[in-house]
Amino acid sequence: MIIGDAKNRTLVPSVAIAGVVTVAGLALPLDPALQYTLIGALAWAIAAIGLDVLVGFTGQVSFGQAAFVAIGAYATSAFRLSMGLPLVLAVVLGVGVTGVIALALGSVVVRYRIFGIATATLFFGYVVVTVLTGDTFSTVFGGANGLAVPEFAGLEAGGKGYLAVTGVVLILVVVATCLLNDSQTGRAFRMVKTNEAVAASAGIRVRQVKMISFAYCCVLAAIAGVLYSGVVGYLSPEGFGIKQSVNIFAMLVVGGAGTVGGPILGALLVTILPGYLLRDGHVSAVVFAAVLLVFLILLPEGIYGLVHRWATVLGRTVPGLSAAALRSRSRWATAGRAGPRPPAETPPDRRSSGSDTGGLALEVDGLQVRFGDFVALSQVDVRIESGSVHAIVGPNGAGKTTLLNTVCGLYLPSQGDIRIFGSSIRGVKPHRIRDRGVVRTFQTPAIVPDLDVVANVKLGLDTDLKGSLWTDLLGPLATGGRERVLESRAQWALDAVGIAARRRGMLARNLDLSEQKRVELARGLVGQGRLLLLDEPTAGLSADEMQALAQTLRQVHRDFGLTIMVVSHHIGFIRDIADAMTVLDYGRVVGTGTPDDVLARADIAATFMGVETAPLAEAEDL
Amino acid sequence: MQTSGVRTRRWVPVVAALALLIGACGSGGDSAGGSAEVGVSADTIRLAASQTLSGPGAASCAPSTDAAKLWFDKVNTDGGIAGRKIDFEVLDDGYDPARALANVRTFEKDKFAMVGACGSATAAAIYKTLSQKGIPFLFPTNGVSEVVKPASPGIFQVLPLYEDQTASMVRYGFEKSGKGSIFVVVNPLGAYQSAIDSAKKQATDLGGTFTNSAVATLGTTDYTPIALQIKQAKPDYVVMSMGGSDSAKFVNALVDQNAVPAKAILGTTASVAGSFLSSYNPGAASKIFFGSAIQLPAGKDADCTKLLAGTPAVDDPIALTGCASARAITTAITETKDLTRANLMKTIEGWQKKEVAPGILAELSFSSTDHIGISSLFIVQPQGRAFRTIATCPYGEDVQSQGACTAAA
Amino acid sequence: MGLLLSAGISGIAVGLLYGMIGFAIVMLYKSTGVANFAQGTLATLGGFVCWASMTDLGLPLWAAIVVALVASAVLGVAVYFVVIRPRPSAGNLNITVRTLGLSLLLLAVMEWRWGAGAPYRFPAIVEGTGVQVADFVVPAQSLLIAAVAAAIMGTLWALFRYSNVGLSFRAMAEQPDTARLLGLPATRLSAATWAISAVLGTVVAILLAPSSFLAPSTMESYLLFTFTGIVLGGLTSLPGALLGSVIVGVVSNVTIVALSLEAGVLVVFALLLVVMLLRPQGLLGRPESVRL
Repeated sequence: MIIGDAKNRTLVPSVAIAGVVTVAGLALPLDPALQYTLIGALAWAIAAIGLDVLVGFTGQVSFGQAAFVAIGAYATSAFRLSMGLPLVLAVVLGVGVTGVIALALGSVVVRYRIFGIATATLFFGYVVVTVLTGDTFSTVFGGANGLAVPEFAGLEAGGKGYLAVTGVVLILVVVATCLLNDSQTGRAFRMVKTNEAVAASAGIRVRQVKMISFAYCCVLAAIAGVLYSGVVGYLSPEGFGIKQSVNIFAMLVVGGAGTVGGPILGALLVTILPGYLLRDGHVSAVVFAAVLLVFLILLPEGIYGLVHRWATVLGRTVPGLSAAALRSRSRWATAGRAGPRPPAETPPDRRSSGSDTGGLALEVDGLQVRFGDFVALSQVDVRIESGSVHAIVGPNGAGKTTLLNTVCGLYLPSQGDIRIFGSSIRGVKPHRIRDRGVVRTFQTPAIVPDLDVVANVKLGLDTDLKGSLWTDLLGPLATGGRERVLESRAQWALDAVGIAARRRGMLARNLDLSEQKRVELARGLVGQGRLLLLDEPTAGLSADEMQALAQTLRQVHRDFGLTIMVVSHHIGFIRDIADAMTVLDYGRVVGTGTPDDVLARADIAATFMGVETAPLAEAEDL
Repeated sequence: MQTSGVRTRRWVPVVAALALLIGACGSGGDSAGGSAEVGVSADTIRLAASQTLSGPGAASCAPSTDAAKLWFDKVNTDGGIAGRKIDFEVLDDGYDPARALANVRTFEKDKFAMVGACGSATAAAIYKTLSQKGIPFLFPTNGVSEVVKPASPGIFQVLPLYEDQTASMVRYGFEKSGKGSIFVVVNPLGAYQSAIDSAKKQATDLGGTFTNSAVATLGTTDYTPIALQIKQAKPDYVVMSMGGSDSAKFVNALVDQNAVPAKAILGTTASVAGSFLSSYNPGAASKIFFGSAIQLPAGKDADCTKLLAGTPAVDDPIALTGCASARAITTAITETKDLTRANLMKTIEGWQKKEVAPGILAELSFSSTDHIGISSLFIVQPQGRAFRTIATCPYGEDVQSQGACTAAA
Repeated sequence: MGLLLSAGISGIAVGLLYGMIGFAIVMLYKSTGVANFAQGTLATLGGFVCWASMTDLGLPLWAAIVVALVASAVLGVAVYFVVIRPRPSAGNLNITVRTLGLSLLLLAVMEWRWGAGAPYRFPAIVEGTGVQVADFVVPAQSLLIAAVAAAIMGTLWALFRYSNVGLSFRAMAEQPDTARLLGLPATRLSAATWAISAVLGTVVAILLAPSSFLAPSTMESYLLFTFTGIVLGGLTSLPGALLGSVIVGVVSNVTIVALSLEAGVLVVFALLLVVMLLRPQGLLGRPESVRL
């Protein structure tokens, strides 16, 4: 679903864009029509920023954004006109009503991926226009002929005063959105965008996160609607149809998704170009569509990303600039580390509760998993002692990953039961299973590529140190304490898996494979993990890297008394770390016991012929 | 680490460039000339229109301003009005009231008057602003009653409101084929509930009955469900107030479902469009009667007929109306001695049974309290791919008090 | 009662049209993962090519139809190579929005070229009074639509289900990377899918145009209900798309007749939400398996 990378810490450039546009609009003697168009563009920019949180940061989609702009605008105006409420109260109620409707719709659509959400939001937009046009509510909303909006507290609709108010609201929205995106909630958005299943197994409440994102998106739409209604002075359903929803999407794409500042640039271009510069309807429509396609195909990072890329090139070629850049980089780097680093050996508080020994960590009884007619696992029994390392081995397609996915709740068993630390996981959601201490890694490291390493590890604590939307919107003022704890634990976990300090500020995608695997491991270790599921931690690693990883695993196993269930093809690695192993073939258990006993069996040795030498084929297995 | 500190510095020139760009766009014209009235100089009169030039409505709307432009060009080549040439600018609003209002803001500083165009919703959105600023708004195609009732200063229209038209058409039908039951179908053009209500009132007042009504969005693709409702209700008359191609689709659905009413299908001026003629099923032609503001086919000697001769627009009622309206505007300007907006309004309010486009438009009568100009409605019937006027009915504020219709020669 | 029955039958007729467009969309979605929002405008453009071949080139209807079908196949392939194929790494959402952009572009071009004078009256392939069922007269054109729909859907379904080509399509849909590794010509298959869906669209446009007339935005209002039918049917199921579309057609027409047009829209939307809530995999769809 990814439409492009999201950018981190866009606060300064984004506020700069919003501020400069506002100040320029206020200072320059603008043609009244342009000034009017500019205010409209700033209002639409707010709606586009909301959509950016949903699309660019959370990886979801909405083709009904204009409908929420309409709801905010109409509800506020109706509260003022029909009920005679004062402006401020009407705005609060209007935005609130929009939020409630968004939550109601959101609770249904977040269950779906693109196709479902796109259809439902598109249809919702159509329904809103139909209801506003229809005669059922025409006494309140004016029907097809629309509704005149009274002036806002004496502000002339297209005047400088109104521009100033719109600009200030836009800047506040930009600040809140940037803070949100860089917060714990924002990191959860990014993980949901990268992979919902992985996010769920890391303890993130995926639906809840998507609903927060959707509601935030719609609330910004409502705020945009209020401002827009004031500058236009007239509301009619015609202006909020599917076409306008597509326009808002275009602002996002052209400006740059996942940037906050980009949608402002997009809104200026999309609104001012056809509205003010290209006045021939047909030419304007063709140009608009062509520009949108060019951006989608050739410049998916949008204007913001493009300028950012140019600026980077410029910085490299102009020595003065890059010196300045270096200075500010080091300053930022120190500022970024909140508080003094705790000593590496400080374990998180829960470690004192002692390690898991005695009893069974995992019991799998008569498990069957089917996909349609295909039986992936059949009559599988596995028992893992607490505090042991248990390997799962078997040829490609034996069902090893399916077993892990079923244990962490991503797949549902069709028969049999799984108990973790004695209690069944039947009907338990993946993030709840994570709450019981099951953490896992994936064959292809499931990290968020466009977040930095430390932020990736912090995601492992989403369950234990939950953020709240309200504090996250306020930024470090409100979340500083929590962030310091998150930071120190993340640094501790990165120490434990041996990621060099200088690599920790990099984007996760820029690490090499073995480092990415360690980051994922750190994300698992950092929280309340008791049972660690590792899926092919050795795939694609060199012999040296494999040995180093084995050592790290042994160390964390010893230090924290974790139970580890590991899928691997590398017999050497398994002999090295495992206390017991289970062999799967064609979805059935064909052997279980200590590695030495099991591997001594001739039939099992045959199963493994050639596997050890073909680790590359593994990358395709799933 | 790609820090934002880096980006901060690098953004400075970009952001500055952006500011310059906005400034460059904004430094355009600030002058209006030193004339006594806005939009009028020694050699130019500036007129403007906000028109639906894009989107689904464009095809049927654009011909009216295109034809107006042709008329103004002709006036200019004939030497203009008292030595002044007409400058006519049209901006697209895509049938979006908000954009129409934005266009008005663009125009208000240097245009003398607004030429009416398509669209009830757009007219409803802009008329208050125009009226408050004293800018004349001449002859929009509008169905929203508040725009002209009561009369707002400077807002004049030729066409009767749809609610008055549906009542007139019911009266015409009953007069012609006897009273009976009616079924009303409307697109939301202006105040459509009132269009239904007035048809119902007229029918019951004249001793007929009202069976039911249906509302369909403009651009509905399948009118079969409504045709089935009508088939069930079996009314004597179907009264409709619908756009041109919607009227055609609806009539075709009636024919397909054998649901054509026993007596007649009665429609408003909104149906009188080229898009109806090009696509309706002629099987029902003999039962179709539409009210029309213009005589069809237009008189051969009329100025607009000659102007449009040889183009497809000569058969397009909307283009003819646009040209006739433009001719009315130039007539008003010519008759206004000291050309100010207020004097122009006075000229128009003084028109009684005024022939502004003989052979096309019926006589217009305005007063300070009545800003709807039509004094009689033509009744037209489709014949093949053309309309033909078959009667003229007196039309006015109070339909009851009018005399009978007269059949056309 | 007779009225509602007639409305139901008329709903089936219109549902078959939704279903045929839905077939094209589901086929593309199954094999390329892209929800094609340009399906409607591609279809309309095919209709205009047919119309222009008759009026500008003076071809008879049957020849114009052949020209339009061939042209839309070429167009489908061109769209794939120019709009869809570049930068596949941008992700499905990006590519889905590309189809939206393409739709805007085609619409703008059609408005420019053919907008003035639209809608156009389009000749029916068959004339005649049709058949009376209950109170509803099924026009001859609707009978033709039903026959064509049945033939096309049957063929495509059998193709997907039983032939080698269909197997390749399915392999590509389930595991695109693996399919490529197995040596399936993914590019050619995708291009072919685009061609087939564009042709299918044109067929629908030609069948629909005589009753709804030909205008640039003719198919727009069909697209929403088509997508709804697809979601009801289960996104990836061809018979599901048909079933969902017919349900949408029937529910909508019955509600319009019983209540009002506005209610028709609301009831279909409510139906969509209820199905999404209670049966997320749709009526005939399989639950989505997680991909990691």
